[in-house]
Amino acid sequence: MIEIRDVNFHYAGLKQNGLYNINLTIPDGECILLCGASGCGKTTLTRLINGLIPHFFKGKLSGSVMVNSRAIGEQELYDLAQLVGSVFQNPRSQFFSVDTDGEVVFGPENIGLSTQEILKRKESVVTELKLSELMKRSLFDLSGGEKQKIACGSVAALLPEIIILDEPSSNLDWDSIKDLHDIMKHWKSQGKTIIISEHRLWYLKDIIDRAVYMENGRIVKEWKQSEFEHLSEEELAFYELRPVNLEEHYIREFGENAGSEKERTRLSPSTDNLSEEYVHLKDFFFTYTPKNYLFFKKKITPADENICTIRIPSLNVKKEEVIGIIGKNGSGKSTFLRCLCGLEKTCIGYVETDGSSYKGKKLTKICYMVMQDVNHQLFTDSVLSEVLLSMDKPDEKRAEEILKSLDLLEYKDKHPMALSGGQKQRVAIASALAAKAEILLFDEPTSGLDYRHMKEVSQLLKGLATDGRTIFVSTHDPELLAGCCDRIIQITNGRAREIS
Amino acid sequence: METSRKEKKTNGWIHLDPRTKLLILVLFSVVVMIDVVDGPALIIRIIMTFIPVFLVCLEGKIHIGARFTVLYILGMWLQSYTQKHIDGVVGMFLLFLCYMIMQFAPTIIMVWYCISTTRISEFMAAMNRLHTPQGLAISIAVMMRFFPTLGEEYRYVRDAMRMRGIQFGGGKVSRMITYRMIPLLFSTISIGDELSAAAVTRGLGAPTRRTNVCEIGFHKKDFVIAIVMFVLTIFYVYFSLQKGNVIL
Repeated sequence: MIEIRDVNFHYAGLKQNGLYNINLTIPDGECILLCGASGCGKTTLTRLINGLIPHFFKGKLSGSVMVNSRAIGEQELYDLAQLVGSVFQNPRSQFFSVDTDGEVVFGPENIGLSTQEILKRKESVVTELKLSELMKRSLFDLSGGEKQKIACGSVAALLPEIIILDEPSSNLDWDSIKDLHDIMKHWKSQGKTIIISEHRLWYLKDIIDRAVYMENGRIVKEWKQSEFEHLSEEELAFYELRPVNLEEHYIREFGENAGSEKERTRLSPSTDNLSEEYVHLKDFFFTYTPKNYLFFKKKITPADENICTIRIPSLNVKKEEVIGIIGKNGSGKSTFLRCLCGLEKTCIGYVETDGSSYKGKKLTKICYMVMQDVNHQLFTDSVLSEVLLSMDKPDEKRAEEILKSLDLLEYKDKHPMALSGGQKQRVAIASALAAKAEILLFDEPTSGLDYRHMKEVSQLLKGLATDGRTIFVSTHDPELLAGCCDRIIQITNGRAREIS
Repeated sequence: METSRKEKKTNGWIHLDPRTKLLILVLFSVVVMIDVVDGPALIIRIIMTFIPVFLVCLEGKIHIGARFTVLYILGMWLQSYTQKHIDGVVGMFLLFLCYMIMQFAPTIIMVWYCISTTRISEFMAAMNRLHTPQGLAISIAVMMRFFPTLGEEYRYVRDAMRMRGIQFGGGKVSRMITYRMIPLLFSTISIGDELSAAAVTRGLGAPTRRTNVCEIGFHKKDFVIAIVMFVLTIFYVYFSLQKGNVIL
């Protein structure tokens, strides 16, 4: 049993994300959902239970956190490791090994179990969580969903009574979410206590026993499972939560049978229609593993279709539209976007728009991608210079206009890294506008965002399209698709197909 | 984010024990440190240079081996040509270039072979057997773990720069470096933080002795390669000392 009594907490040197007056009792075997906007204190609360607070993150803590009537603060993290297991949000940064086998046995090795015991545990975890296909692989070759499964396995191998998941589905596609759901169900049937903090709610409704809603570091509301399942749209909108029940056709489109038969259907067959309002993409063929000759790599041609990761002979999209790109993890969405903005040198595709044709390196002139981790593309020490950097000739006036249109003018002298995630995203967009990019690409812009921020992104994309830009956005978010996309393209095995 | 799907196979045709690799790496360093120009020592040196190349080829990376061979032969030819025919600044520069190729390229390919074919758990097991202090072993393991991540992050940053056409920072070296370093620093710091949080919740740092389930051991091929390298090194040192070469 977990008992949290009168807890107040503040991170050292931070005003946000504190906790106020938290009282929560979680009996053994219960599955509890923590929901609420970003920064409401969900993650902080999970850290209280897995001991990262007070052992890893320092701050001012009062009140008591007890697990099985022992205070968390008085136990060492390595002892807690056998009691509480944690799966984190980012699949990229929770691995210590570089191969899957090493990762699953990592925990048991740390606590010094015998070799036979470790191998026995590995065996049972692999069968229980159905990981056998993922064994003996390099972690760098796995998709986000597969990594998250390995993370679950690595946690389970320590046989913890309590399992904490902190926004585990942020980077996952629908199939992977389903696998995650099954794993959680299995844990529940074993009688483990599960605490999950999450924005996406629909996949959890049949697992949880109770949902706790938090706001500004306080617990504001609790629902039982039966109440939670039937929350009305108005209530969800009031609490700014994402939907609990999804519309049927999304489940069908994203679900397992999507894209099985009509794989080869070509898009917009009217290729002769070279009218002005279209952007034509042609011959997008690309592979990560071209035939290696001894001294150079073989150049690919459309005839190499069979070995290609991306095989889109022709694709026409209307200007000033938002095009949603969906597909499973590893189906080639990101790769397609990378090809489109000219990052993959060996891709032979070209784009025709306004009577001119762009290919290879030139694509970077008209296309600009806002990356999933936007930190990678902010280089300078102020927002304004970030925008000026993208211009051929620095023009401060225009830069300020662009910033104003994105509500960033007041931050123009701030360091980009000091801004919030959403603001950083807008800075990246501002620099794209400054570079006069006509085609903007977004790689999963809403992964890990709460309802309100997701809505903001959706509005922003629509606005950008109305201003005359063509937007491609890859996403797993049905709500984002519904909110802003004019057409949806599904990528399966590198082939594109339009749906709805 | 979908990472590039390049296969990294850790099991080649010849799978050596990490300790053997460490030994040949050390022997190889000795050879590289002593410079020779001609005589039997040079031949031994060339043979030793091509042992790692051979091993790399056995890993299935024949194209890398071939490229290296061509580079090496080109370097040798250019060196002797320059010594005979080109003087002055150009000659100095070319000699320097050749020297770099001849000295460093073999070392790089050797190190690359050792790192790319050793799994971290194997390495930890080897360190354990050698009774290395755990602190040192873990530090090196963390470094090995971090290099691929660093590479991944670096590629993202490079892509972002290419997209904005600022690879060359307007011609200023300082800017070229700043633009690369700032995003790289921020992302690696946050990754490092998350990584250590994840590691401590999985019990890293427990005072008990860490188990290692990885099986390592010496086999025939380990002995063969180790002995060959060892004998060659002894001959190499003997010949070069005879000629009065100084150990750098």
